Amino acid sequence: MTNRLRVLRAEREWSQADLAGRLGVSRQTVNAIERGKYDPSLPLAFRIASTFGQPIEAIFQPDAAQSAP
Amino acid sequence: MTSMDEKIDRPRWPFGCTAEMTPRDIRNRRRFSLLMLGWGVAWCAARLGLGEHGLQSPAPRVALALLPIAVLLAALAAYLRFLRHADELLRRIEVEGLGVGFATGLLLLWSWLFLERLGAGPIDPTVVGSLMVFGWVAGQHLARRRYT
Repeated sequence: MTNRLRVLRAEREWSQADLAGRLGVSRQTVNAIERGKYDPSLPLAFRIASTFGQPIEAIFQPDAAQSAP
Repeated sequence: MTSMDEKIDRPRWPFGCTAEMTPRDIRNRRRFSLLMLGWGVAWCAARLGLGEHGLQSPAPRVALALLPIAVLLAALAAYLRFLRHADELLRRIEVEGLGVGFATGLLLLWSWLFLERLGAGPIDPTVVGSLMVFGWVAGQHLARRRYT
């Protein structure tokens, strides 16, 4: 799954630690999500969307392989 | 590397990188680690106290035999608490580690029968337990490399 987390974070000039603190997760988790190594759980995805004030679909996009039927 | 490409330091084997854990995870993990240390001490004390030159009275022997069990149960409860409240990525890493550790023990126990038929001696439960812990640590390391 791809995401715009890094772009959205950069727009607000937040560090990974800043975002991690706002989400209640570790910086390791934020880093792994941004690098596409880890997909967040649904509750965390909702918290991310709420933090950035955007719908989940605007932040996370499935890979081409995932979106194929 | 730009300022936004923040590098994650590789965890220091085998204890991970507490700098990457939330304060609650650090507290819960420290509680578990201290209890495991206490279990190690209790286990050694039981080995010595129940040995050939150890305690002779029945009641203290029973108490000493039960002490490591009680401490280990407390440590397991602390580990469950740690897992339930852990950061979700950390929880995934820990659970994958547990999976490898469990599989290591199962593999040994269910396969030793065939090795005995080939001449190996009876299996030592301490060896199985130790290898399960090794599998647990190795599994966490593999998961950490996968996700970070």
